[in-house]
Amino acid sequence: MNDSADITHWLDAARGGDREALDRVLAALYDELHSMARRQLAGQQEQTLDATALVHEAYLKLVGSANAQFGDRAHFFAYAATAMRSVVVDHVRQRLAVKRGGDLERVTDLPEEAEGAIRLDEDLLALDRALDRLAAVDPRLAQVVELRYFGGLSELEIAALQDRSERSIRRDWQKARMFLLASLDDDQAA
Amino acid sequence: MDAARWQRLSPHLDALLELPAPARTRRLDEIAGDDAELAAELARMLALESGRDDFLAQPLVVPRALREGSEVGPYRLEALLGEGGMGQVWRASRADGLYQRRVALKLLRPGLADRSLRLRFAREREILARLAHPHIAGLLDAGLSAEGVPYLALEYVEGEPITRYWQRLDVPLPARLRMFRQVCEAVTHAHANLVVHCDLKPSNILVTADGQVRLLDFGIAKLLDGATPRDATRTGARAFTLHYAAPEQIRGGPVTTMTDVYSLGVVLYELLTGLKPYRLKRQSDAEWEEAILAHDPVRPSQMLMRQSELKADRLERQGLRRRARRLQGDLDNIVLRTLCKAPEQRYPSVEALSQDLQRHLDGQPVHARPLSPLYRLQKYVRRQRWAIAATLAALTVLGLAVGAVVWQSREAVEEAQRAQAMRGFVVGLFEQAGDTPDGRALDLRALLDGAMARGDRELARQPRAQAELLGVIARLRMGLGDDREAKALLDRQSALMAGQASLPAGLQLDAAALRGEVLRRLGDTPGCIRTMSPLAPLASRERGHLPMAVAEFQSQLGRCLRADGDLAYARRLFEQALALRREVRAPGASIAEIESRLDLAALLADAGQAGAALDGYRAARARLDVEAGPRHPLHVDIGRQVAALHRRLGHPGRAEQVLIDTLVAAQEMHGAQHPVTLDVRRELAGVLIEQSRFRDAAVPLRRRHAALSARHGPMHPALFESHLSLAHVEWQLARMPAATGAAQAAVAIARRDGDGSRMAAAMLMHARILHDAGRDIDARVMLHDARAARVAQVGAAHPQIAEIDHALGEVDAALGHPGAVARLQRAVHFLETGYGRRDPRTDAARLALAHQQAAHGDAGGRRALAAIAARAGRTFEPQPLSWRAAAYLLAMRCHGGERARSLRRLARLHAAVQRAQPDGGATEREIARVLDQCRRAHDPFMPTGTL
Repeated sequence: MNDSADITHWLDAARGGDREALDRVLAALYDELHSMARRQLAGQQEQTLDATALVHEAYLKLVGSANAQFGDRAHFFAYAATAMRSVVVDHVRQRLAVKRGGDLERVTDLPEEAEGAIRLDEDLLALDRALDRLAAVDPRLAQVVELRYFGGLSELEIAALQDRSERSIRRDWQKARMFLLASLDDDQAA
Repeated sequence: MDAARWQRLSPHLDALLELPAPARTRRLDEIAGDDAELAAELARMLALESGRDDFLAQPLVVPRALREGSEVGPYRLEALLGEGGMGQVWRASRADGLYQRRVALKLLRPGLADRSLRLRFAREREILARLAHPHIAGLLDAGLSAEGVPYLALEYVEGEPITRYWQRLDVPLPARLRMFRQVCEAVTHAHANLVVHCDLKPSNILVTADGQVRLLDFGIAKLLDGATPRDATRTGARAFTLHYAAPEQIRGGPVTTMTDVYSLGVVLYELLTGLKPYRLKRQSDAEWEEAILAHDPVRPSQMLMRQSELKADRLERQGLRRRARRLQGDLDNIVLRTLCKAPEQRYPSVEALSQDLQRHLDGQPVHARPLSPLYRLQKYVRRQRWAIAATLAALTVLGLAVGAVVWQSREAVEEAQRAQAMRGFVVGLFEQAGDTPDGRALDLRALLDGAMARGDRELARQPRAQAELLGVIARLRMGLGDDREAKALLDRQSALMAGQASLPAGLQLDAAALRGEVLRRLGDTPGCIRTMSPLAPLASRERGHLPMAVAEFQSQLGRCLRADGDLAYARRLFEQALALRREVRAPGASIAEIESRLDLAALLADAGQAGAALDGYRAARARLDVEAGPRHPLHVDIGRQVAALHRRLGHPGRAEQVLIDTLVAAQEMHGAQHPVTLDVRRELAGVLIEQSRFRDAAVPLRRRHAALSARHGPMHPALFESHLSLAHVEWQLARMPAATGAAQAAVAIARRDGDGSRMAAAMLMHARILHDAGRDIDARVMLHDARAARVAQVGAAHPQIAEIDHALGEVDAALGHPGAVARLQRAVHFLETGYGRRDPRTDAARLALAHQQAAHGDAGGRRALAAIAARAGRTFEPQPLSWRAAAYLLAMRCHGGERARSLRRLARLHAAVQRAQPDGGATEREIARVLDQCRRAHDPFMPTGTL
């Protein structure tokens, strides 16, 4: 793809507020993560998507360990988490489409698999929607979720990234869960 | 959750999350003071978050992918065997090399909102843990891996689907059937543990390399007594395989043990023909569904015949035709029965199916008939028929009528399945009993004992299932009249249930109702009320769900209350039971309704509203005729109640007629030995005695005695009362040796049992006989002995002492001992206080007292005698006491100028008494004696005796 220097450069620019640079970074990340994910998935029947590992791999690949500063790394992961979320959601959407529209015969042959997996996929999409809603009212909370759930960062790492106390991250995490749970409950009731 | 709401809540949440728990609660209270709604919402949010630890707890995927070589718990994964909705199944072996054994490791897939999957997983574990059978792939281990992945380690079975095995090796028919029966054994074991497989198919029935059959994958099996979480199937995905599914599964209805019967039927069909039961034009799901729901399966033999038509090769054709002929008849019928659309028309249990196959293999007639279930009843031992049919009917009704709730509710399904499972067991038992020759009641009891022993063995770890079984067998015992044995079983059931939490309501109510009934039949109505009353609130709550079980509970409790005298409460319960039973639309509910009407009619009789009661009885009998025909055990109940009413109204003749008819019916339906028949006999005897037809009464008494003797032995406690009644009747008939013998037997039984009350009663009888025979000295000794012994037990004021005193008084008077009057006065006093003024025993003592007083010249005594004598004119009933009083009065005028007239009147009195007591009797004899004395008084050369 592009070499490490470019990415770091774009990261810097994005951090500085350059929208175009941000788009580029995200696009690059998305591409990279997407193909890595595909490779991982092609291997077995079970779709184990190891997001954390992928993000780490992507980081190593795109940025390289040599000239990374901690600040860069944190930002990278923040963007990577967002990109990861897109990768996963898109992938799940596609899978659902296959299952739903596809051969009915196949469904009846392996009913258990379809049932559980579909539920998993639909749940993920619902979470995605709820996250969007959360981002609309409280973007900071939504980002904590992205970082932790899709990016695999720990609370300590997030605290460092956002320059806040671990405790306040914890609180954000709790509130975010409340919002999401309530939101998902409302979905179900509807 | 919208933006505005969140804006309101967010700052508060910030603050609350900062606080430790007690401070948080205080703060919430403070907020509640201002705005309760806000506080409630905040509390709800906090609870939401704290209650869902698992939500988003882990980053999006398993931190480490599972691969060959990965370790899960003590196991190392070797190869992925398959994928399920719940997770993966791997072949694995122990990582520490401890055992060489291979396992199938079932892993729970992690996910976002996993609770229901976790529950399912836990349930599967619970199901598997119950089942230990050589033909079921067993659960070896279960646990949690280091990453927190739950796993189940199952016996690893390498084999091929049974149908393929048969085909590949061209296994001959008898061997196939033998293997099939092994499968049936395994399924029966599961059913006995109240587990239904729900997904039986060849790929779940494997045959290993050494020809062993193994049942797999109870993954979607249903527990009949566990908490079954709602299985919401989404987007049309099914949890079972279509081709082997039963109609009720496709319709989404409650699944029972009969569902497994159907699935096995399809496998059996393949066993016989190599094909599936339905021929379709297009192999689509929709067509299959329709076929299973609505088309008749093709007869196996016919299927093969059709195949033979398609073969070009003549030898092949002949081969197929030969096989088709082999299947015609029994095997055809057996298979078709298992594939009936309506579950209740199939074999009631897998065991029954297996046994029919065995019968076929043994060359015996099979039970499969392509006809109605009632046909089965005709095969049975005649006398046990009703005992078992009644139980069956009760269970069927309980099973079918689960009331006005959404029928897929968990509780409804559970209750239906409970009853189904037990019903299947009963009918299975029944079919076995059908082979024994007529009249061998003991065989069925042995069968029940055997079933109980089997239940103890197989269900040792399933106290709930054992409790169910105990209930069913107790019910059957009661149907046979073995009330004591039934009570023992119910005591065991009680003990088992006491140790269990959260039992199904239906089981609790059934158990209580049975227990109450048996206690009442054994004479312990207070015990019945004590047992049942605590459950009355539960019954009330379950009215909507379990109308029949609640109605039965209420009826039984009502009957005990009626026996105890609380008529108002009994009435309320009977009315409620009637209302419930009227609502239910199921066979057998209408019979239950008639029972309720009978209960109410009996209450009317108790309340003295004889006319209304008789109307009620008549109506009940008419409806019973319509619903069940003239031969139904309930007719016996109706007959007995009507007869009791007639007796109470003073029409012993009518009562007699009814009782004779009832006795015939009871004899035919229950047999001579059954307690109900014996009770009817006793009641008939009682009615005859009332009419002083002692000779006639002796007949049913003796027959009853013989039946009891044959059953228990002549000196069994159950025979005490029979001996006593016989003694009384023989005495009336002046057959003194027989009377004495019976009385002595009664005394012996009572003495051996240490029963003071009974002993006193028996000795009293004996003494009376002696007195009548003129052996007053012997009588006196006996009475003194009896008195002394009894006083030591109950004190001198007890009415039974007074009865003895009465007899002593008469004996003393006969012997000319002084103090007879005083003794009789004492007797009357304590009889009045003990039994009441109107009691016949008090009356008899009063007569004796009046007689003695008059004999001593007491005018009061004479007046009393006259009063007693006057009663005879008022009713049609025989009045032995009045006749005697009249005789005594006349005897006192048997001298001088009045003598001739007195003699004439005495003679007329005697003649009237003879007409009233054609068989003779103690009274008649007494009056004859008085008459004789009067006659002799005429002759100066005859000694005048004292009166």
